[in-house]
Amino acid sequence: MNRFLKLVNMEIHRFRYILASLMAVTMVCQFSSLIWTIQRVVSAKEKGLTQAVVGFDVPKMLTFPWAIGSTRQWFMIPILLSVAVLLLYALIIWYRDWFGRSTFIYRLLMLPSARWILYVSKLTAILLFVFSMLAFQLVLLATEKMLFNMIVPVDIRTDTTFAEAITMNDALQFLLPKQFEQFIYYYGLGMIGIIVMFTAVLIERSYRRWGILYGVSYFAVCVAVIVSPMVLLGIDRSSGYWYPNEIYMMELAVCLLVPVISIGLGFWLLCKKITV
Amino acid sequence: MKRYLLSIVLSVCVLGILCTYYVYGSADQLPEYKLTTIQGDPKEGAEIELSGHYSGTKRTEPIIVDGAGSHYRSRETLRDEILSARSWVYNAGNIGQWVQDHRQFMRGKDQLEGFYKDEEWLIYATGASRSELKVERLHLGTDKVTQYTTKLPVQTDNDYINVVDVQRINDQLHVLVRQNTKGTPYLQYFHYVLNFDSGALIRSEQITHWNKTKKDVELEFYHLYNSESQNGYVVFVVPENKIISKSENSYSSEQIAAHLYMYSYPSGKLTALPDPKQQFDPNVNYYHEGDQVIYKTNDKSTLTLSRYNLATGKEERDYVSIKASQFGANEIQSAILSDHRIYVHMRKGTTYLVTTLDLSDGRALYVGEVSYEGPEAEREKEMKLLQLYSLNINKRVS
Repeated sequence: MNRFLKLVNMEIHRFRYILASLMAVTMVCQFSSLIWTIQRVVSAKEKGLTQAVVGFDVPKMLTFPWAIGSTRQWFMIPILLSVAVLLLYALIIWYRDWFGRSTFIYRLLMLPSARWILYVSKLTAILLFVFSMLAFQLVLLATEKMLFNMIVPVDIRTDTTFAEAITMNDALQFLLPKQFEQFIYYYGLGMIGIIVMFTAVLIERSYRRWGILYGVSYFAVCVAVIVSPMVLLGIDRSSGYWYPNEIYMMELAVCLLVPVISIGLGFWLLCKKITV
Repeated sequence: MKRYLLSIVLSVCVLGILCTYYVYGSADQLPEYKLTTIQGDPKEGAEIELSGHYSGTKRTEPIIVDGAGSHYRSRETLRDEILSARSWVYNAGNIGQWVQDHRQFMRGKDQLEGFYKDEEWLIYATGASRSELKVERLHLGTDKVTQYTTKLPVQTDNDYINVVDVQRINDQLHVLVRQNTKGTPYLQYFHYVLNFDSGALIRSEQITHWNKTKKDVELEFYHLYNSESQNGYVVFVVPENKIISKSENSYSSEQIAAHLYMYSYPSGKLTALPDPKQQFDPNVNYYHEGDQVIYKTNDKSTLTLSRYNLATGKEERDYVSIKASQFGANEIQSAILSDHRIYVHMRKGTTYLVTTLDLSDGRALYVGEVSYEGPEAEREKEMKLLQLYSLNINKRVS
């Protein structure tokens, strides 16, 4: 346990500046666009200017969801950037140990503890980074709501719910689904994706040149297996042999089977195939 | 411990923020509505669903209101989406109930009109190939499934066996098929009689020969689905549409007449039905149940039903007349005839009423109202934001 915590802490420590930079970019983009959008509308309203004069939407009453909807693209850019960086880092988290200074992986592999702890600690770190960005977005939204209330006078604003504001941006709606069950599905699938990616990387590291082909093929096969119950069994085909609840159970089964096999294979490769 | 401070703080914050959001912040606080019983038996309103949208938020929310409450589409999860797939099949007729009772037999069967059921048998007929009819039979007493394939005589190479009615009469299976015919662009109806036990074709007959006779009049004939397919009749509707304008990009027509015909499986005779309304009304809807053909007309204030008995030839004009004012409503929005019942959807001020009436005599069995499940002070405002424009009968089985 102690070794696991140490490794997780090390991974967080290594990524801390990138994580902080992503958070800063997100905050600057969202705050600046929000403040600029709200202020120009409030200013137009105070001067009694209409949409025809100013050339942008001047609603009768301002709401926080309206503000989020009006700054949609400025919210989306840092979110997409963060998603891209985290996806890329899911690969780099392994390769930096091989290609970094003094091939750090040899030291990690020779630690006096089970090698699978290395796999789990990297996975935990990636998940922690994803959820950190998500939690940070929630904090930002709460702060942005406070900012909105501070800038917009009470007589020209209407109070709304936090959840309604999230529905105004497709990216936020996807990242923060209303139902916790949906949250489990989205992030569960994301987690499976990371696990499969980790195993593909280990396949590549184990078999080198041929490993690239094996790793890519393994990833493709896993994706095909995950989508196969829905696609091959024809969930929307009225004459489909299997009933929707059976297809749902099969989908759950493959979503359990793929990560279990991937983790098992990853552990085996790390313990038996990768040698120092 | 100090070494791990960053990791510990990060983990605790992440967990705390996400839990707080899903416990307190993610609830949408959309208003709740419910279909409540005002009068009659609540079971008669159990299958009623009203769908529309709620416009009190920045984004319009699609909503369904029924006796259980309100169901917003935005609250659906991946599981809901998967489990409600093919709902158009399982909600049609009695398919949902048959799936529950005979799960194995019902696999892959989706054409409501291909089914026949009586006390002894559940039968499904469908096209197996371009010229073959496949019949599967489930004996309800023994749960034994038998099947046979019968080759049908076809007239063209591009045939498709589209089964539209199946009826068992004594030791014969009567199958009505719509298929291509030589010399006409229209799909015509064919009657095939099979030996019920062996599937051997006893006789076949083309029963409709409708074709375009006037240059500016289009034909579009169809049959009426009969939920009680044990009476030996099938009814055809032949509307005539006068073409008003026809060009490459546009087409408009106006219905100028509609003729009804009855075909009897035992006698093999096709006879025209008298029009009980005499004067043609393009707003008439036709419904076939058992031996009765029902003619439904409605405007915003009144709904009337006339009927014709196929067995006796007895005609009853306007045997049911329902006024919106009878229920204190302002207007009738729509009505559905299904399974010996008439379901009427009405608007009363800012709220909606639904009533279930007995199809045989128009007696009210159930009256329900959409109510707001929240503080009385907000009721008027929230009801104004609700638009329910569609009435559905959902035969969902639990």
